[in-house]
Amino acid sequence: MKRDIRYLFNDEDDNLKQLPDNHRAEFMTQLKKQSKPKRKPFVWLSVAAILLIALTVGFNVFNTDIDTNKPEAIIAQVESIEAEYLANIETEWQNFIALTEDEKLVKRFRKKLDELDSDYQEISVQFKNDSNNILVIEALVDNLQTRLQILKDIQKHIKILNQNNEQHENTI
Amino acid sequence: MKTLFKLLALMLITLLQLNAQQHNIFNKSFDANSITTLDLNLDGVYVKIEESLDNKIHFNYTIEFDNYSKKAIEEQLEGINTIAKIVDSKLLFETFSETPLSDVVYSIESLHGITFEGDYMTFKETSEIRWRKPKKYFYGMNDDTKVETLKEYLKDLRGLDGEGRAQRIDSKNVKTLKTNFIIKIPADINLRIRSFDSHMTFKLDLTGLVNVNARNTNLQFMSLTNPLNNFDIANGKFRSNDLKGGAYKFNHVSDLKIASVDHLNIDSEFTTIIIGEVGREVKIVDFNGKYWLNNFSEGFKYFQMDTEYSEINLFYPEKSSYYIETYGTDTLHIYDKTNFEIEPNRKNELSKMFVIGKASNINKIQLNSVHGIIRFGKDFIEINE
Repeated sequence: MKRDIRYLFNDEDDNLKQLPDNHRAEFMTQLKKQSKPKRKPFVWLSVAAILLIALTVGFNVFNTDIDTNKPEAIIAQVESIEAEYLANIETEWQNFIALTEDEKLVKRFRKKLDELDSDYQEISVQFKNDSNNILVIEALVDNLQTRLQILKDIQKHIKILNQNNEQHENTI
Repeated sequence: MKTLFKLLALMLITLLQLNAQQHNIFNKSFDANSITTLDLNLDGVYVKIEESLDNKIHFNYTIEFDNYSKKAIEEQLEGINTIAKIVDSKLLFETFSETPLSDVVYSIESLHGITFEGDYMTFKETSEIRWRKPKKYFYGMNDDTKVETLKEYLKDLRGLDGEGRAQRIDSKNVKTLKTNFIIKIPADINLRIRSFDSHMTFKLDLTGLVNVNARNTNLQFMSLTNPLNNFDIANGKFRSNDLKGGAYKFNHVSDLKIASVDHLNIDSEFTTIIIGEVGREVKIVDFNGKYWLNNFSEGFKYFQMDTEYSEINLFYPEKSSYYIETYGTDTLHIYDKTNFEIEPNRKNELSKMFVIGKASNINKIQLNSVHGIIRFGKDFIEINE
Protein backbone atom coordinates (compact mmCIF):
# COMPACT_ATOMS: atom_id res chain seq x y z
CA MET A 1 0.00 0.00 0.00
CA LYS A 2 1.15 3.50 -0.65
CA ARG A 3 1.16 4.43 2.98
CA ASP A 4 1.78 2.24 5.89
CA ILE A 5 0.15 3.16 9.16
CA ARG A 6 1.97 0.51 11.11
CA TYR A 7 3.96 1.55 14.15
CA LEU A 8 1.95 4.73 14.38
CA PHE A 9 2.34 5.22 18.07
CA ASN A 10 5.92 4.09 18.50
CA ASP A 11 7.21 7.65 18.53
CA GLU A 12 5.06 8.39 21.51
CA ASP A 13 6.85 5.72 23.50
CA ASP A 14 10.17 7.30 22.65
CA ASN A 15 9.01 10.65 23.93
CA LEU A 16 8.05 9.51 27.41
CA LYS A 17 9.63 11.85 29.93
CA GLN A 18 12.02 10.44 32.51
CA LEU A 19 11.10 11.03 36.16
CA PRO A 20 13.62 13.10 38.12
CA ASP A 21 15.66 11.26 40.75
CA ASN A 22 13.93 13.00 43.66
CA HIS A 23 10.39 12.57 42.30
CA ARG A 24 9.31 10.38 45.23
CA ALA A 25 10.23 13.03 47.86
CA GLU A 26 8.60 15.80 45.81
CA PHE A 27 5.47 13.75 45.47
CA MET A 28 5.23 13.16 49.25
CA THR A 29 5.65 16.90 49.92
CA GLN A 30 2.89 17.74 47.46
CA LEU A 31 0.67 15.07 48.99
CA LYS A 32 1.08 16.46 52.51
CA LYS A 33 0.13 19.94 51.31
CA GLN A 34 -3.09 18.64 49.74
CA SER A 35 -4.10 16.12 52.39
CA LYS A 36 -6.50 18.39 54.34
CA PRO A 37 -10.03 16.89 54.47
CA LYS A 38 -12.64 18.60 52.32
CA ARG A 39 -16.29 19.00 53.20
CA LYS A 40 -17.85 17.18 50.27
CA PRO A 41 -15.17 14.98 48.70
CA PHE A 42 -17.48 13.34 46.17
CA VAL A 43 -19.26 16.41 44.81
CA TRP A 44 -16.62 16.96 42.13
CA LEU A 45 -16.73 13.29 41.28
CA SER A 46 -20.52 13.41 40.82
CA VAL A 47 -20.22 16.45 38.55
CA ALA A 48 -17.45 14.78 36.59
CA ALA A 49 -19.46 11.58 36.24
CA ILE A 50 -22.59 13.43 35.02
CA LEU A 51 -20.50 15.41 32.59
CA LEU A 52 -18.86 12.24 31.37
CA ILE A 53 -22.23 10.49 30.97
CA ALA A 54 -23.55 13.44 28.96
CA LEU A 55 -20.45 13.57 26.79
CA THR A 56 -20.35 9.83 26.23
CA VAL A 57 -24.05 9.51 25.44
CA GLY A 58 -23.80 12.51 23.14
CA PHE A 59 -20.75 11.06 21.48
CA ASN A 60 -22.39 7.68 21.01
CA VAL A 61 -25.55 9.30 19.59
CA PHE A 62 -23.35 11.30 17.26
CA ASN A 63 -21.60 8.12 16.21
CA THR A 64 -24.90 6.31 15.70
CA ASP A 65 -25.98 9.08 13.35
CA ILE A 66 -22.72 8.84 11.52
CA ASP A 67 -22.99 5.07 11.25
CA THR A 68 -26.06 5.57 9.10
CA ASN A 69 -24.14 7.65 6.56
CA LYS A 70 -24.43 6.85 2.90
CA PRO A 71 -21.44 4.90 1.60
CA GLU A 72 -22.59 5.65 -1.95
CA ALA A 73 -20.86 9.03 -1.73
CA ILE A 74 -17.53 7.39 -0.92
CA ILE A 75 -18.04 4.75 -3.58
CA ALA A 76 -18.78 7.47 -6.14
CA GLN A 77 -15.62 9.27 -5.11
CA VAL A 78 -13.49 6.18 -5.58
CA GLU A 79 -15.22 5.37 -8.86
CA SER A 80 -14.34 8.83 -10.10
CA ILE A 81 -10.68 8.27 -9.21
CA GLU A 82 -10.83 4.81 -10.80
CA ALA A 83 -12.20 6.24 -14.05
CA GLU A 84 -9.47 8.87 -14.17
CA TYR A 85 -6.76 6.27 -13.61
CA LEU A 86 -8.16 3.75 -16.07
CA ALA A 87 -8.28 6.41 -18.79
CA ASN A 88 -4.62 7.26 -18.10
CA ILE A 89 -3.64 3.58 -18.00
CA GLU A 90 -5.28 2.99 -21.40
CA THR A 91 -3.47 6.01 -22.87
CA GLU A 92 -0.13 4.79 -21.49
CA TRP A 93 -0.82 1.26 -22.76
CA GLN A 94 -1.41 2.59 -26.29
CA ASN A 95 1.78 4.68 -26.06
CA PHE A 96 3.69 1.63 -24.86
CA ILE A 97 2.60 -0.74 -27.63
CA ALA A 98 3.35 1.97 -30.18
CA LEU A 99 6.86 2.38 -28.78
CA THR A 100 8.06 -1.23 -28.81
CA GLU A 101 8.26 -3.97 -31.41
CA ASP A 102 9.10 -6.63 -28.85
CA GLU A 103 6.02 -8.87 -28.79
CA LYS A 104 7.33 -10.90 -25.86
CA LEU A 105 7.62 -7.72 -23.81
CA VAL A 106 4.08 -6.62 -24.69
CA LYS A 107 2.76 -10.06 -23.80
CA ARG A 108 4.53 -10.05 -20.45
CA PHE A 109 3.16 -6.61 -19.58
CA ARG A 110 -0.34 -7.64 -20.66
CA LYS A 111 -0.11 -10.59 -18.28
CA LYS A 112 1.10 -8.37 -15.44
CA LEU A 113 -1.67 -5.83 -16.00
CA ASP A 114 -4.26 -8.62 -16.08
CA GLU A 115 -2.94 -9.94 -12.76
CA LEU A 116 -3.21 -6.47 -11.25
CA ASP A 117 -6.72 -6.09 -12.61
CA SER A 118 -7.68 -9.41 -11.05
CA ASP A 119 -6.30 -8.20 -7.70
CA TYR A 120 -8.28 -5.00 -8.13
CA GLN A 121 -11.53 -6.91 -8.56
CA GLU A 122 -10.85 -8.74 -5.27
CA ILE A 123 -10.10 -5.50 -3.42
CA SER A 124 -13.26 -3.95 -4.92
CA VAL A 125 -15.34 -6.64 -3.22
CA GLN A 126 -13.70 -5.76 0.12
CA PHE A 127 -14.36 -2.08 -0.58
CA LYS A 128 -18.06 -2.69 -1.17
CA ASN A 129 -18.27 -4.47 2.18
CA ASP A 130 -16.18 -1.94 4.09
CA SER A 131 -16.25 1.38 2.22
CA ASN A 132 -14.79 3.49 5.03
CA ASN A 133 -11.66 1.43 5.65
CA ILE A 134 -8.63 3.51 4.68
CA LEU A 135 -6.47 0.42 4.12
CA VAL A 136 -8.88 -0.87 1.50
CA ILE A 137 -9.22 2.51 -0.23
CA GLU A 138 -5.44 2.83 -0.35
CA ALA A 139 -5.09 -0.69 -1.74
CA LEU A 140 -7.41 0.29 -4.59
CA VAL A 141 -5.52 3.49 -5.40
CA ASP A 142 -2.17 1.74 -5.00
CA ASN A 143 -3.20 -0.95 -7.48
CA LEU A 144 -4.18 1.64 -10.10
CA GLN A 145 -1.05 3.67 -9.47
CA THR A 146 1.11 0.57 -9.87
CA ARG A 147 -0.35 -0.18 -13.30
CA LEU A 148 0.28 3.38 -14.43
CA GLN A 149 3.77 3.46 -12.91
CA ILE A 150 5.02 0.24 -14.57
CA LEU A 151 3.77 1.47 -17.96
CA LYS A 152 5.49 4.82 -17.50
CA ASP A 153 8.70 3.17 -16.26
CA ILE A 154 9.04 0.75 -19.17
CA GLN A 155 8.44 3.54 -21.70
CA LYS A 156 11.11 5.63 -20.02
CA HIS A 157 13.46 2.65 -20.13
CA ILE A 158 12.86 2.03 -23.85
CA LYS A 159 13.18 5.74 -24.67
CA ILE A 160 16.55 5.94 -22.91
CA LEU A 161 17.83 2.98 -24.94
CA ASN A 162 16.39 4.31 -28.22
CA GLN A 163 17.76 7.78 -27.58
CA ASN A 164 21.28 6.46 -27.07
CA ASN A 165 21.01 4.18 -30.13
CA GLU A 166 20.00 7.17 -32.26
CA GLN A 167 22.87 9.27 -30.89
CA HIS A 168 25.25 6.42 -31.68
CA GLU A 169 23.93 6.09 -35.25
CA ASN A 170 24.22 9.85 -35.80
CA THR A 171 27.83 9.77 -34.57
CA ILE A 172 28.65 6.94 -37.03
CA MET B 1 -21.20 7.37 50.81
CA LYS B 2 -18.97 4.42 50.09
CA THR B 3 -21.74 2.79 48.04
CA LEU B 4 -22.22 6.00 46.04
CA PHE B 5 -18.51 6.15 45.36
CA LYS B 6 -18.43 2.52 44.21
CA LEU B 7 -21.42 3.07 41.93
CA LEU B 8 -19.88 6.16 40.38
CA ALA B 9 -16.52 4.44 39.95
CA LEU B 10 -18.25 1.49 38.29
CA MET B 11 -20.16 3.81 35.97
CA LEU B 12 -16.99 5.64 35.04
CA ILE B 13 -15.14 2.44 34.24
CA THR B 14 -18.09 1.06 32.25
CA LEU B 15 -18.52 4.27 30.28
CA LEU B 16 -14.83 4.46 29.44
CA GLN B 17 -14.93 0.87 28.23
CA LEU B 18 -17.84 1.68 25.93
CA ASN B 19 -15.51 3.66 23.70
CA ALA B 20 -12.41 1.44 23.95
CA GLN B 21 -13.03 -2.28 24.15
CA GLN B 22 -10.49 -5.04 24.06
CA HIS B 23 -11.49 -8.50 22.86
CA ASN B 24 -9.57 -11.74 23.05
CA ILE B 25 -9.41 -13.57 19.75
CA PHE B 26 -7.06 -16.46 20.52
CA ASN B 27 -4.87 -17.14 23.52
CA LYS B 28 -3.26 -20.55 23.80
CA SER B 29 0.12 -22.24 24.30
CA PHE B 30 1.45 -25.51 22.86
CA ASP B 31 4.39 -27.62 23.98
CA ALA B 32 6.96 -27.44 21.14
CA ASN B 33 8.80 -30.64 22.14
CA SER B 34 6.61 -32.78 19.91
CA ILE B 35 6.11 -30.16 17.16
CA THR B 36 8.65 -29.92 14.33
CA THR B 37 6.71 -27.59 12.00
CA LEU B 38 4.44 -24.62 12.56
CA ASP B 39 2.07 -24.23 9.62
CA LEU B 40 0.63 -20.72 9.47
CA ASN B 41 -2.24 -19.92 7.15
CA LEU B 42 -2.99 -16.21 7.43
CA ASP B 43 -5.49 -13.96 5.70
CA GLY B 44 -5.96 -10.32 6.63
CA VAL B 45 -3.80 -10.50 9.73
CA TYR B 46 -1.19 -8.31 11.40
CA VAL B 47 1.17 -10.39 13.52
CA LYS B 48 4.52 -10.10 15.28
CA ILE B 49 6.62 -13.22 15.80
CA GLU B 50 8.98 -13.27 18.75
CA GLU B 51 11.34 -15.82 20.27
CA SER B 52 9.92 -18.23 22.83
CA LEU B 53 12.37 -19.02 25.61
CA ASP B 54 10.39 -21.84 27.26
CA ASN B 55 10.19 -24.21 24.26
CA LYS B 56 6.49 -23.55 23.87
CA ILE B 57 4.54 -21.94 21.06
CA HIS B 58 2.38 -19.12 22.39
CA PHE B 59 -0.48 -17.35 20.65
CA ASN B 60 -1.70 -14.09 22.11
CA TYR B 61 -4.23 -12.34 19.90
CA THR B 62 -6.40 -9.42 21.04
CA ILE B 63 -8.16 -6.57 19.27
CA GLU B 64 -9.06 -3.18 20.71
CA PHE B 65 -11.92 -1.10 19.31
CA ASP B 66 -12.25 2.63 19.75
CA ASN B 67 -15.33 4.63 18.70
CA TYR B 68 -17.01 1.46 17.42
CA SER B 69 -20.67 0.77 18.15
CA LYS B 70 -21.54 -2.53 19.82
CA LYS B 71 -23.06 -3.77 16.55
CA ALA B 72 -19.97 -2.82 14.53
CA ILE B 73 -17.73 -4.64 17.02
CA GLU B 74 -19.88 -7.76 16.78
CA GLU B 75 -19.71 -7.63 12.99
CA GLN B 76 -15.93 -7.29 13.07
CA LEU B 77 -15.53 -10.17 15.50
CA GLU B 78 -17.88 -12.39 13.51
CA GLY B 79 -15.63 -11.80 10.48
CA ILE B 80 -12.58 -13.25 12.26
CA ASN B 81 -12.15 -17.02 12.32
CA THR B 82 -9.26 -18.80 13.99
CA ILE B 83 -8.41 -22.50 14.18
CA ALA B 84 -5.45 -24.34 15.74
CA LYS B 85 -4.89 -28.08 15.65
CA ILE B 86 -2.02 -30.54 15.86
CA VAL B 87 -1.69 -33.06 13.03
CA ASP B 88 1.16 -35.55 13.60
CA SER B 89 4.17 -33.39 14.45
CA LYS B 90 2.73 -30.29 12.80
CA LEU B 91 0.86 -27.45 14.47
CA LEU B 92 -1.60 -25.97 12.01
CA PHE B 93 -2.82 -22.45 12.76
CA GLU B 94 -5.28 -20.65 10.51
CA THR B 95 -6.77 -17.22 10.94
CA PHE B 96 -8.94 -15.22 8.60
CA SER B 97 -10.31 -11.71 8.87
CA GLU B 98 -12.91 -10.37 6.44
CA THR B 99 -11.49 -6.89 6.99
CA PRO B 100 -7.72 -6.83 6.39
CA LEU B 101 -6.11 -5.84 9.68
CA SER B 102 -3.06 -3.75 10.37
CA ASP B 103 -1.70 -2.87 13.80
CA VAL B 104 -3.99 0.15 13.58
CA VAL B 105 -6.88 0.40 11.13
CA TYR B 106 -8.70 3.69 10.75
CA SER B 107 -12.18 4.05 9.33
CA ILE B 108 -13.27 7.56 8.57
CA GLU B 109 -16.83 8.57 9.33
CA SER B 110 -18.01 11.41 7.17
CA LEU B 111 -21.64 12.26 6.52
CA HIS B 112 -21.26 12.91 2.82
CA GLY B 113 -18.18 10.98 1.82
CA ILE B 114 -14.45 11.56 1.60
CA THR B 115 -12.16 12.91 -1.06
CA PHE B 116 -8.46 12.87 -1.80
CA GLU B 117 -6.30 15.94 -2.01
CA GLY B 118 -2.66 16.21 -2.80
CA ASP B 119 -0.42 13.95 -4.79
CA TYR B 120 -2.22 10.68 -5.38
CA MET B 121 -1.37 10.83 -9.05
CA THR B 122 2.14 12.22 -8.95
CA PHE B 123 5.20 10.22 -9.85
CA LYS B 124 8.76 9.85 -8.74
CA GLU B 125 11.46 12.41 -9.45
CA THR B 126 13.44 11.65 -12.57
CA SER B 127 16.81 12.97 -11.49
CA GLU B 128 18.70 12.08 -8.37
CA ILE B 129 22.00 11.14 -6.82
CA ARG B 130 22.19 8.06 -4.65
CA TRP B 131 25.09 7.48 -2.32
CA ARG B 132 26.52 4.11 -1.45
CA LYS B 133 24.97 2.81 1.75
CA PRO B 134 26.83 0.59 4.21
CA LYS B 135 25.40 -2.75 5.37
CA LYS B 136 24.74 -1.44 8.89
CA TYR B 137 22.48 1.24 7.42
CA PHE B 138 20.11 -1.55 6.35
CA TYR B 139 20.09 -3.16 9.79
CA GLY B 140 18.96 0.14 11.27
CA MET B 141 16.43 0.77 8.54
CA ASN B 142 14.92 -2.72 8.64
CA ASP B 143 14.33 -2.37 12.37
CA ASP B 144 12.93 1.11 11.90
CA THR B 145 9.35 1.50 13.01
CA LYS B 146 8.82 5.18 12.40
CA VAL B 147 5.83 5.89 10.21
CA GLU B 148 3.30 8.67 9.82
CA THR B 149 1.17 10.03 12.63
CA LEU B 150 -2.61 10.12 12.34
CA LYS B 151 -2.33 13.83 11.52
CA GLU B 152 0.07 13.10 8.66
CA TYR B 153 -2.08 10.22 7.58
CA LEU B 154 -5.17 12.37 7.25
CA LYS B 155 -3.24 15.10 5.43
CA ASP B 156 -4.46 14.18 1.94
CA LEU B 157 -7.94 13.09 2.92
CA ARG B 158 -10.93 15.41 3.24
CA GLY B 159 -14.52 14.87 4.36
CA LEU B 160 -17.29 16.27 2.19
CA ASP B 161 -20.03 18.43 3.67
CA GLY B 162 -23.66 18.56 2.45
CA GLU B 163 -22.76 20.91 -0.39
CA GLY B 164 -19.84 18.83 -1.59
CA ARG B 165 -17.19 21.08 -0.07
CA ALA B 166 -14.04 19.40 1.21
CA GLN B 167 -13.41 19.83 4.94
CA ARG B 168 -10.58 18.66 7.15
CA ILE B 169 -11.38 15.39 8.88
CA ASP B 170 -11.64 15.62 12.65
CA SER B 171 -9.72 12.79 14.28
CA LYS B 172 -12.76 12.26 16.53
CA ASN B 173 -14.62 11.02 13.46
CA VAL B 174 -12.11 8.25 12.91
CA LYS B 175 -12.88 4.78 14.25
CA THR B 176 -9.78 2.93 15.41
CA LEU B 177 -9.13 -0.79 15.50
CA LYS B 178 -5.86 -1.89 17.08
CA THR B 179 -4.52 -5.41 16.67
CA ASN B 180 -2.15 -6.95 19.16
CA PHE B 181 -1.22 -10.39 17.89
CA ILE B 182 2.02 -12.01 19.02
CA ILE B 183 3.17 -15.55 18.28
CA LYS B 184 6.20 -16.78 20.23
CA ILE B 185 8.19 -19.61 18.66
CA PRO B 186 11.52 -21.41 19.19
CA ALA B 187 14.13 -20.08 16.70
CA ASP B 188 14.84 -23.52 15.23
CA ILE B 189 11.26 -24.59 14.47
CA ASN B 190 10.39 -25.19 10.82
CA LEU B 191 7.87 -22.72 9.40
CA ARG B 192 5.41 -23.18 6.58
CA ILE B 193 3.66 -19.89 5.86
CA ARG B 194 0.84 -19.07 3.48
CA SER B 195 -0.32 -15.50 3.81
CA PHE B 196 -2.64 -13.15 2.01
CA ASP B 197 -3.34 -9.46 2.72
CA SER B 198 -1.31 -9.71 5.90
CA HIS B 199 1.62 -8.23 7.76
CA MET B 200 4.29 -10.32 9.52
CA THR B 201 7.19 -8.90 11.54
CA PHE B 202 9.77 -11.38 12.79
CA LYS B 203 11.71 -10.25 15.83
CA LEU B 204 14.07 -13.23 15.95
CA ASP B 205 16.77 -14.86 13.82
CA LEU B 206 15.37 -18.00 12.21
CA THR B 207 17.60 -21.04 11.82
CA GLY B 208 14.88 -23.61 10.94
CA LEU B 209 13.52 -24.26 7.47
CA VAL B 210 11.24 -21.45 6.30
CA ASN B 211 8.89 -21.97 3.39
CA VAL B 212 6.76 -18.95 2.42
CA ASN B 213 4.04 -18.26 -0.14
CA ALA B 214 2.84 -14.71 0.37
CA ARG B 215 0.60 -12.40 -1.60
CA ASN B 216 -0.12 -8.76 -0.77
CA THR B 217 1.78 -9.30 2.45
CA ASN B 218 4.30 -7.09 4.19
CA LEU B 219 7.16 -9.19 5.52
CA GLN B 220 9.93 -8.04 7.82
CA PHE B 221 12.65 -10.46 8.93
CA MET B 222 15.80 -10.47 10.99
CA SER B 223 18.21 -13.11 9.61
CA LEU B 224 17.28 -16.29 7.74
CA THR B 225 20.03 -18.88 7.51
CA ASN B 226 18.60 -22.23 6.46
CA PRO B 227 20.06 -23.29 3.07
CA LEU B 228 16.75 -24.86 2.03
CA ASN B 229 14.58 -21.80 2.63
CA ASN B 230 12.09 -21.17 -0.14
CA PHE B 231 10.19 -17.91 -0.64
CA ASP B 232 7.60 -17.00 -3.25
CA ILE B 233 6.42 -13.43 -2.71
CA ALA B 234 3.96 -11.54 -4.93
CA ASN B 235 3.10 -7.89 -4.30
CA GLY B 236 3.45 -6.57 -0.76
CA LYS B 237 6.72 -5.52 0.84
CA PHE B 238 9.84 -7.32 1.99
CA ARG B 239 12.63 -6.29 4.32
CA SER B 240 15.31 -8.40 5.87
CA ASN B 241 18.68 -8.29 7.54
CA ASP B 242 20.97 -11.19 6.53
CA LEU B 243 19.75 -13.83 4.09
CA LYS B 244 22.00 -16.86 3.83
CA GLY B 245 20.97 -19.76 1.62
CA GLY B 246 17.75 -20.61 -0.14
CA ALA B 247 15.73 -19.46 -3.13
CA TYR B 248 13.70 -16.25 -3.27
CA LYS B 249 11.12 -15.32 -5.86
CA PHE B 250 9.83 -11.73 -5.91
CA ASN B 251 7.05 -10.56 -8.20
CA HIS B 252 6.28 -6.85 -7.98
CA VAL B 253 7.41 -6.46 -4.40
CA SER B 254 7.98 -2.93 -3.14
CA ASP B 255 10.24 -1.51 -0.47
CA LEU B 256 12.52 -4.52 -0.87
CA LYS B 257 15.64 -3.91 1.19
CA ILE B 258 18.08 -6.60 2.28
CA ALA B 259 21.18 -5.95 4.39
CA SER B 260 23.17 -8.87 2.94
CA VAL B 261 22.74 -11.92 0.70
CA ASP B 262 24.94 -15.00 0.63
CA HIS B 263 24.72 -18.42 -1.07
CA LEU B 264 21.28 -17.85 -2.57
CA ASN B 265 19.30 -17.43 -5.76
CA ILE B 266 16.88 -14.61 -6.49
CA ASP B 267 14.31 -14.71 -9.28
CA SER B 268 12.56 -11.36 -9.62
CA GLU B 269 10.33 -9.28 -11.87
CA PHE B 270 8.80 -5.78 -11.69
CA THR B 271 10.65 -5.21 -8.44
CA THR B 272 13.16 -2.71 -7.10
CA ILE B 273 15.68 -4.47 -4.87
CA ILE B 274 18.24 -2.71 -2.71
CA ILE B 275 20.99 -4.91 -1.29
CA GLY B 276 23.59 -3.75 1.22
CA GLU B 277 26.23 -6.40 0.57
CA VAL B 278 26.50 -9.27 -1.90
CA GLY B 279 28.31 -12.32 -0.54
CA ARG B 280 29.47 -15.59 -2.07
CA GLU B 281 27.62 -17.67 -4.66
CA VAL B 282 24.76 -15.31 -5.36
CA LYS B 283 22.82 -15.61 -8.60
CA ILE B 284 20.02 -13.29 -9.72
CA VAL B 285 17.62 -13.63 -12.64
CA ASP B 286 15.50 -10.53 -13.27
CA PHE B 287 12.93 -9.09 -15.64
CA ASN B 288 12.21 -5.35 -15.66
CA GLY B 289 13.50 -4.79 -12.16
CA LYS B 290 15.79 -2.18 -10.63
CA TYR B 291 18.74 -3.37 -8.60
CA TRP B 292 20.96 -1.40 -6.26
CA LEU B 293 24.05 -3.35 -5.19
CA ASN B 294 25.84 -1.27 -2.59
CA ASN B 295 28.85 -3.46 -1.90
CA PHE B 296 30.37 -6.95 -2.08
CA SER B 297 31.81 -9.00 0.76
CA GLU B 298 35.50 -9.72 1.06
CA GLY B 299 36.39 -12.60 -1.29
CA PHE B 300 32.89 -12.88 -2.80
CA LYS B 301 34.42 -14.94 -5.65
CA TYR B 302 31.58 -15.04 -8.17
CA PHE B 303 28.38 -13.10 -8.70
CA GLN B 304 26.05 -13.47 -11.70
CA MET B 305 22.98 -11.61 -12.94
CA ASP B 306 20.85 -12.57 -15.94
CA THR B 307 18.55 -9.69 -16.80
CA GLU B 308 16.10 -8.42 -19.39
CA TYR B 309 14.78 -4.85 -19.48
CA SER B 310 16.43 -4.31 -16.10
CA GLU B 311 18.39 -1.52 -14.48
CA ILE B 312 21.49 -2.51 -12.55
CA ASN B 313 23.12 0.07 -10.31
CA LEU B 314 26.40 -1.33 -9.07
CA PHE B 315 28.84 0.22 -6.62
CA TYR B 316 32.33 -1.21 -7.11
CA PRO B 317 33.43 -3.72 -4.45
CA GLU B 318 35.32 -1.91 -1.69
CA LYS B 319 36.70 -4.92 0.16
CA SER B 320 38.24 -6.94 -2.69
CA SER B 321 39.88 -6.51 -6.07
CA TYR B 322 37.54 -7.60 -8.86
CA TYR B 323 36.84 -8.27 -12.50
CA ILE B 324 33.55 -7.12 -14.05
CA GLU B 325 32.26 -8.40 -17.37
CA THR B 326 29.00 -7.48 -19.08
CA TYR B 327 27.58 -9.74 -21.76
CA GLY B 328 24.45 -9.33 -23.90
CA THR B 329 23.03 -6.79 -26.28
CA ASP B 330 21.14 -3.48 -26.47
CA THR B 331 22.43 -2.24 -23.15
CA LEU B 332 23.38 1.24 -22.05
CA HIS B 333 26.44 1.42 -19.81
CA ILE B 334 27.03 4.50 -17.68
CA TYR B 335 30.60 4.52 -16.46
CA ASP B 336 32.60 7.49 -15.16
CA LYS B 337 29.94 9.94 -16.40
CA THR B 338 30.24 8.43 -19.89
CA ASN B 339 27.34 6.75 -21.65
CA PHE B 340 27.97 4.08 -24.19
CA GLU B 341 25.43 1.85 -25.79
CA ILE B 342 25.86 -1.64 -27.12
CA GLU B 343 23.33 -1.67 -29.91
CA PRO B 344 21.25 -4.68 -30.89
CA ASN B 345 22.50 -6.31 -34.06
CA ARG B 346 20.17 -7.68 -36.72
CA LYS B 347 20.26 -11.23 -35.37
CA ASN B 348 20.03 -10.04 -31.74
CA GLU B 349 23.16 -12.04 -30.98
CA LEU B 350 24.72 -11.71 -27.57
CA SER B 351 28.35 -10.72 -27.12
CA LYS B 352 30.84 -9.49 -24.56
CA MET B 353 30.04 -5.79 -24.09
CA PHE B 354 32.32 -4.32 -21.43
CA VAL B 355 35.03 -5.29 -18.97
CA ILE B 356 36.69 -3.72 -15.91
CA GLY B 357 39.83 -5.29 -14.37
CA LYS B 358 41.75 -8.41 -15.26
CA ALA B 359 39.97 -11.62 -16.22
CA SER B 360 42.37 -13.60 -14.03
CA ASN B 361 41.00 -11.99 -10.84
CA ILE B 362 39.43 -14.55 -8.49
CA ASN B 363 36.49 -12.21 -7.73
CA LYS B 364 34.31 -12.03 -10.81
CA ILE B 365 31.08 -10.12 -11.46
CA GLN B 366 29.22 -11.40 -14.52
CA LEU B 367 26.34 -9.17 -15.67
CA ASN B 368 24.30 -10.62 -18.54
CA SER B 369 21.93 -8.00 -19.87
CA VAL B 370 19.48 -7.64 -22.76
CA HIS B 371 17.70 -4.28 -23.29
CA GLY B 372 19.21 -3.07 -20.04
CA ILE B 373 20.79 -0.11 -18.32
CA ILE B 374 23.88 -0.63 -16.16
CA ARG B 375 25.28 2.16 -14.02
CA PHE B 376 28.57 1.93 -12.15
CA GLY B 377 29.62 4.12 -9.25
CA LYS B 378 32.28 4.44 -6.58
CA ASP B 379 30.68 6.60 -3.91
CA PHE B 380 27.49 7.69 -5.66
CA ILE B 381 25.42 6.99 -8.75
CA GLU B 382 23.64 9.77 -10.55
CA ILE B 383 20.45 9.08 -12.42
CA ASN B 384 19.77 11.56 -15.19
CA GLU B 385 16.85 10.54 -17.34
